[in-house]
Amino acid sequence: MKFHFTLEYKRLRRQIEELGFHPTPVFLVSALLFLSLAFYVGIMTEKPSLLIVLAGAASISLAFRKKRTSFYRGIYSRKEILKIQSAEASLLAFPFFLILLSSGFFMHTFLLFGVVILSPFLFMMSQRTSTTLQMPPAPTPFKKHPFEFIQGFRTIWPLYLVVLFVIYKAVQVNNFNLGLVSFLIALISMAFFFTKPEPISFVTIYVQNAKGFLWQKMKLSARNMLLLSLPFIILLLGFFPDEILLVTMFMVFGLLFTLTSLLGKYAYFPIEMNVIQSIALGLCLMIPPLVIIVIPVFYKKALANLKPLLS
Amino acid sequence: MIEISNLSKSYGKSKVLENLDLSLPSGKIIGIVGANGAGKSTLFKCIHGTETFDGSITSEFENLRTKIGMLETNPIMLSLITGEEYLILHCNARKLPVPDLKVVNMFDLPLKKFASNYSTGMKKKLALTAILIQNNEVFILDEPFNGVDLQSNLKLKSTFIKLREDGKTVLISSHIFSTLTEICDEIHLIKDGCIKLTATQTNFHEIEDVLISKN
Repeated sequence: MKFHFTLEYKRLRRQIEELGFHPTPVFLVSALLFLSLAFYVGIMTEKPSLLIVLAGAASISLAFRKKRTSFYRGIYSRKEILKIQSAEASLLAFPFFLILLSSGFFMHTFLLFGVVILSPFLFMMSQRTSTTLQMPPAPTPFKKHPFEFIQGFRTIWPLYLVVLFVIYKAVQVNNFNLGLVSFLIALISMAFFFTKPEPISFVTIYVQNAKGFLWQKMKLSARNMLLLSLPFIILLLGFFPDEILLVTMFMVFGLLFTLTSLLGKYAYFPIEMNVIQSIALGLCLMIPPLVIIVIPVFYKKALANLKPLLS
Repeated sequence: MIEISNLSKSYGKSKVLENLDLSLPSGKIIGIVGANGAGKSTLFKCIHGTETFDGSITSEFENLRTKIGMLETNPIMLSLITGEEYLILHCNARKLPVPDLKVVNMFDLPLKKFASNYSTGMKKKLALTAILIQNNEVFILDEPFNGVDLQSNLKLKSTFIKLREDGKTVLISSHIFSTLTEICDEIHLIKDGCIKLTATQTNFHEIEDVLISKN
């Protein structure tokens, strides 16, 4: 176990170093950013504790990624995997525990603690059920236009159920901000459908030129995004009709942010997300108007980058 | 000796293995052949304990899982782990002392480099080295010869023969039938979820006949 976690720490440091940064300042900045975000959520909504629990639960899910679990299975026994994943879930949830405890949300701390304890067992059970039942692929409304939204939706559809639930709760307690933040999380998640480049053949099979290809991708993404956001928009506007301007603004930002991510992917295709893309996306999240500047830059670069593949 | 009886495994409505019986004696190289999707890899995962199943798998070992080394068709490597660290991780997982890695590096792999950047064949060689240094009693090797260069293939064959001499059980699946006939003591054909035919060195051709015939 000791070597395992030492190695994980080394991997984390190497990941940061690969991006061209020194790990120590990155750890400090991350801690500061995390605290600022927690504070931001705290002042933005009346009941931030539920959001912190949800964010904690989402971060715990990182311990159960498919490739990681398959890797562990080849090395460790089932008992050891359970121990390792429990420890990883606890570590990932630790900052969220600190925020909940320091804010005096003891019930929610207990709730997150329950998630940490139960998640490895639930995950193991779900793995057994999924291999035994071998569920058919989840249906999506995007089947005629592969592939990012199909793949992304099938990976994180439970998140959308959670978002729907939180919006429903927001309606119940008449807290529009809570619903809006959840909607924003759903919108941002869609941008992440475009962070991993596909195999080159997924691009070269198109008969269009680079410009046509990019515009088609952008149109499809906008359409699919609107389709996936529709249930959230209907719920929010159905119960908070006066907030149409804010909902529209968030939707437009989500759309532009997703286009930034899409163009960023093709700007450096087929190389995976690099430091420039990460920083640009991060900055756009913090300062939303920046998307207006980043989109044309990425578009030009993507066009030049795809030309040899799609001429 | 590993005794497999009435092993059944289904994925949803599709039955992959059905009441499969098989004995795996120690000190033997046993080949498993069958068409794509016949259930060879599923059988291996069941023996390895990474897949649930109905039926029983018994052995002379108290905890079989800790005596098996499994080489998957495409070994998974996490990013940013060097070959050296990958091998140490395998020793640590079994609480074994780390041997001199220069000595055990039989394929002359660049152990200081990240394993995820290795080629398919190199990843396979690294994964095999890892299960060899664990000193397992049973080796389950899913397509070990695929993607590996000719020279290393020869080395693999002699390694498996050495393992047999040391009294280990070696279970191999491969579509390269000629290689299997060179090293295996017995070959079993999986078809329709169970062992359809078993052959020893004298009648390997019977399995080959079934494999190349349409039925």
